[in-house]
Amino acid sequence: MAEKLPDPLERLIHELSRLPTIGKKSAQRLAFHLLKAPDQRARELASALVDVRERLRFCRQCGFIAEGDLCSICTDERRDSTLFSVVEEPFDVLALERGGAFKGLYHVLMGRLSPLQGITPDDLQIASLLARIDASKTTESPVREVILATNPNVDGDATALYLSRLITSRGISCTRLGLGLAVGSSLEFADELTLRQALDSRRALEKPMP
Amino acid sequence: MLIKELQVINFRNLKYMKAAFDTGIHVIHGGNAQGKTNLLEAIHLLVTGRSFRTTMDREMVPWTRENYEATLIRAQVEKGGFEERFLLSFNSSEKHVYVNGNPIPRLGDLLGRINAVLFTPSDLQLVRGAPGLRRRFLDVELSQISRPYLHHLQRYDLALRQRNALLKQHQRRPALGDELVAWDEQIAVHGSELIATRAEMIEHLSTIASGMYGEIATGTEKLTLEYKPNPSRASGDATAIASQMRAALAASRNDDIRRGATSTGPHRDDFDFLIDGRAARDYGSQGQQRSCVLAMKMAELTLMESSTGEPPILLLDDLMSELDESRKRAFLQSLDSRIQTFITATERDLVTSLVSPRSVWRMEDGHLTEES
Repeated sequence: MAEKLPDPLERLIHELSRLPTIGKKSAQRLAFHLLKAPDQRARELASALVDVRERLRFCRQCGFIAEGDLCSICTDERRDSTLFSVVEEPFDVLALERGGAFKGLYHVLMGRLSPLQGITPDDLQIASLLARIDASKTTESPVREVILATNPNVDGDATALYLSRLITSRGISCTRLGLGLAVGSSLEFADELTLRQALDSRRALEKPMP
Repeated sequence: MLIKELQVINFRNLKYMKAAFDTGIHVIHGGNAQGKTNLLEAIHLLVTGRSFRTTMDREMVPWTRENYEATLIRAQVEKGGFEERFLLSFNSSEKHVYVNGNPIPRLGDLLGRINAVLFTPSDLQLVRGAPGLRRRFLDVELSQISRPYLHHLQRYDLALRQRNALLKQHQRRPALGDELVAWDEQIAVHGSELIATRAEMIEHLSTIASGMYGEIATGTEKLTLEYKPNPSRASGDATAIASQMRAALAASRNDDIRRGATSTGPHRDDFDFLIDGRAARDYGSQGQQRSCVLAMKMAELTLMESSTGEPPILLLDDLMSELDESRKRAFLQSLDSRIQTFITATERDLVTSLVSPRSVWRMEDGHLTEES
C-alpha cells in the first residue's frame, strides 16, 4: 500500500501536473526538487508566478501580452494601423516581431478552430477582430488588409479560410502568409512537398515590358 | 533492394536468429506454428513499422518470458548501391526506430525506406473483403512510393475527423454553414490529391496485372482493375477533382448533418477486380480470386520498381498451399532472379521441385538453420 504524501506536497504535484506537457511523474520530480532546493528558489518561483499574474494581462485590443490595458505594439504610434496580422497565439506575435519586417498591428485568436477539441468560432477572438475592423471604418485609418498568419496545418488552414470569408465580405483585402523554401536553405536538401509549395507560390522577378 | 543481414531477438517465438542473405529465392520451410510467418512479419515490420497480422504490439512480444526486456529487429540493407542499417526495438510500451544509428521520431517517416511487397493467405480478402481493406492496400503502397501522398493522406484524415466532429455538434449549434465550408475546403484540397493519385495508380496496376494474370492463370480470361472513386464521377486532374468534391460536399451537406458523418470523399472509395468484365468477388472461383491478388501484387512490385528505380523485396507467405500446380509452376518460373524473394512452405520440395533457390532454411520451434 502506497504511503500517502503530505497534503501540501500532494497539492503542489496536482497543480504542476495540470500544466501542459507535464505528466504525473514529471510533476512529482519537480515538486520534490522544489522541496529539496534552497528556500530562496521556491520563493522566487512563487513570486514570479504571482508577478506574472498581477502585472501582466492580455492587451484589450489585440490579445498580445501587455503591462497595462494596451500592449506596447498597440500603443506604438509608428505602427501602421491599417494593416493587421492575425495569429493563433501570443508567442506567434513574438515570432513575427523577431523578424522585424511587419509594421502593422496584430490580432491574437487565442487558438484555432478544432471541432474535435470542441473549439468553435465563439471560443476564439473572432468577434473582437471583426468589431475592430468595423470600428476602424469610421476612423481616419480604416483597415485595408488583413494578413492571416495562422499555422500552415489543417486546423490553421481551416481557421484562415473561415476568417477570409468573413473579412472579404467586408470589402477588405485578405492575404495568407506564403509557403515555400526556407531562407538560407538549398534546393538540394528541400523535401519534395516544400518544393511543390514553393513552385505553386512562385512569382515573377520583374514585370514584363509593356 | 536487398536484406544482406537480419537479426531478430525476442520476436514472438523467435528467441534469437541471425542470417545473411543474397539476391534470388530463399526458401524457409517447416511445419505449422514453427515461426516461418514470424520471420516474414519481422522483415515487414521494418517496412511499415507496423505488423500485417496485428495492431497490438503486445501480441508480438514474448512478455511472459523470464527476463524479457525488449524485442530487437536489426537489418543490414543494400539500397541503391549503399548499405543502410535499420534497428527496430520495442516492447509492450515503447517503440523506437533507428536508421544508420539516427532515431526516426515518427513511424510514418519509416515508410518508403525499405520497399517490399508482401503476399499472405489473408490477402484473398483484398478481393472478397470490405472496401476498407482495399483502401488500406492503396494507402500503404502509395505512401511507400510517394511522400506527397502520405502528406495529403494524413491531412485528409484529420480534416475528415474535424468535419465529422463538427457535424455531430449540429444539434447543439444549428448555424454551422460557414464553419463547414472551411473544413469542406480542406477535404476537397487533400481528398482530390488522393483520388487523382489512386486513379493513376490503379490504371497502371490494371495494365500490368492484366499481363501477369495471363501468365499465372491457365485460361484466356482477362483481368482488369476498376477504380470506383467517391464522388463517383470524379475525374480529371487534382484541381478538377477538387471542384467536383466541393460540389459533392455542398450537395450532401444536409444529409451529412442529419447523419453526423461525411458521406462523400475518398474515404468511401473502392476498386473492383474484374474477370472478363465481371466482378471476381461475386463470380470468381477461389483459384481465380487468388490469381487476381497475386497478379496485382506482382504488378505492385513492377510499379514500385519503376518509381523507386530498384526492385523491392518480395515476401511470399505460404504461397504453395494457395495455388494449384500449374499456377504455382508458372508463377515461380516467372520470378526475376534479381529480386530478393523469401518464400515460406511446409515442405522444401514444394518449392525446390519447381525452381532452384539461392538458399534453403529450416525453421523449427523458432530456430532457423541453413540447409545445403
